[in-house]
Amino acid sequence: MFDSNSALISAFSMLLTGDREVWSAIGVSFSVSLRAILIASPPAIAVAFLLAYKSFPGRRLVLTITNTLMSVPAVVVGLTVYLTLSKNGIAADLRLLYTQPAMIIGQVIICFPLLVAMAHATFTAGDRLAYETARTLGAKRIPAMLTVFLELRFGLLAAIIAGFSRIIAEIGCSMMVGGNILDHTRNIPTAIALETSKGEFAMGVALGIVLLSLTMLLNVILGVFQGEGQ
Amino acid sequence: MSLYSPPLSLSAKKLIFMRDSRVIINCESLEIKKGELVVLTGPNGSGKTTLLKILAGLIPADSGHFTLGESSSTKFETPRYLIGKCIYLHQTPYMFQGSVVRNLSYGLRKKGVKNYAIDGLVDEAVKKNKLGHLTKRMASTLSAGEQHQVALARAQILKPPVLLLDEVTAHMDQKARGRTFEIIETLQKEGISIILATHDDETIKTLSGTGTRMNVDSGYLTL
Repeated sequence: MFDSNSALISAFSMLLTGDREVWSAIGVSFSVSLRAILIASPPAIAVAFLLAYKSFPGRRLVLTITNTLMSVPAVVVGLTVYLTLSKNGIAADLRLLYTQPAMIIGQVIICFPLLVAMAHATFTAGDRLAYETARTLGAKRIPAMLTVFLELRFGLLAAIIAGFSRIIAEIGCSMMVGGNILDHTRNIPTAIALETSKGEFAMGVALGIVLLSLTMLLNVILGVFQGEGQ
Repeated sequence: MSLYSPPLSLSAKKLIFMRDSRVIINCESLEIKKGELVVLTGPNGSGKTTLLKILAGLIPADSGHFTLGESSSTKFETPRYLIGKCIYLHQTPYMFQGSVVRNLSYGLRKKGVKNYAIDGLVDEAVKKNKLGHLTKRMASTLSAGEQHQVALARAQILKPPVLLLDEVTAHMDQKARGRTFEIIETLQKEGISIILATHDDETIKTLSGTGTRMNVDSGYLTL
């Protein structure tokens, strides 16, 4: 029978004694998700900026597609990436299936629409005069855009943190395209799923504590940024 | 390359700007000579702000021919060369986050002016505009009238050939207004051309003496 007290004690002991499997999963999670958010954020913010500041045919359609993609389950993204990278897929030659780059591709796809939508909301809520003022004072397009990013940095950081929170905790895509290989593609969520299915609750709890602490920390940071922005 | 553009005249001919198939601006001819002041009047929604933004290069006109000194453009072309040379001051100025000094130095930094030179130019602008009491303040804490004064100094520091002022004296008290009128007069003497859109009777009365008055009604410009 599951003993929650002993599982909790073992979990803390694993974390404090530096259990290799636990810390390997933590390392993979951070390595994959940080790279994914770093890859996704710049283009997502640029797209959001264009959607907010420029009018072009199909703008509303792009916004609708972005909002729709936000609610696509991670497992569907995983399935799509899996089919693309698998033996008969169009990108089979890249031989990326069951590797960290495959997980990164999946996570970039998952967080991209969320980043675009949240950054777009930030740009829309922000003062459009910032861009015009920068331009009229002689800033070229890109420096003026960077000025707007700087002015709205708290909202944009909040979008990046929300995107990171989404991918660090997703399991569907990581499991399908990563394959849950120890020390390579086993991250926190896939390790929790595996260990729990084996009845090894202590490790699941240990990783759950890390994930929960991280989510809490990110939310605190988010709150600080939002407070600063006001 | 010189930091500043020399004083230039600006003209716009057969200017048309439409939105949703509705004509917003239809201006046959507008010309402003070096150091000239044009006081632009007209009711709300008549197109004053749109006209100023077009002349600043912030909004592309549907058609028109612009000439700024030697540069000119033909129809359907966004006159990019107007940007940074015809500086537009919003009715509600936008203050960048940070100090008043950071705001004043923004345009200079974007022009790649070295820090040591920026300090001197900012000091000069502060003295000229009597803004010494505001330099330590964060821009976000300024009152609306103070923001207008800082925005004017922020544009003036760049010595543009043309200044486009949208309701610049709005929210200003008598003292600040008087100072702004003095600054406008000084700018004119320096050869800077100014178009000032306003509703304010006192501003119209004071400045019409030294400038040309034009009226915009439903997008049509009349003398």
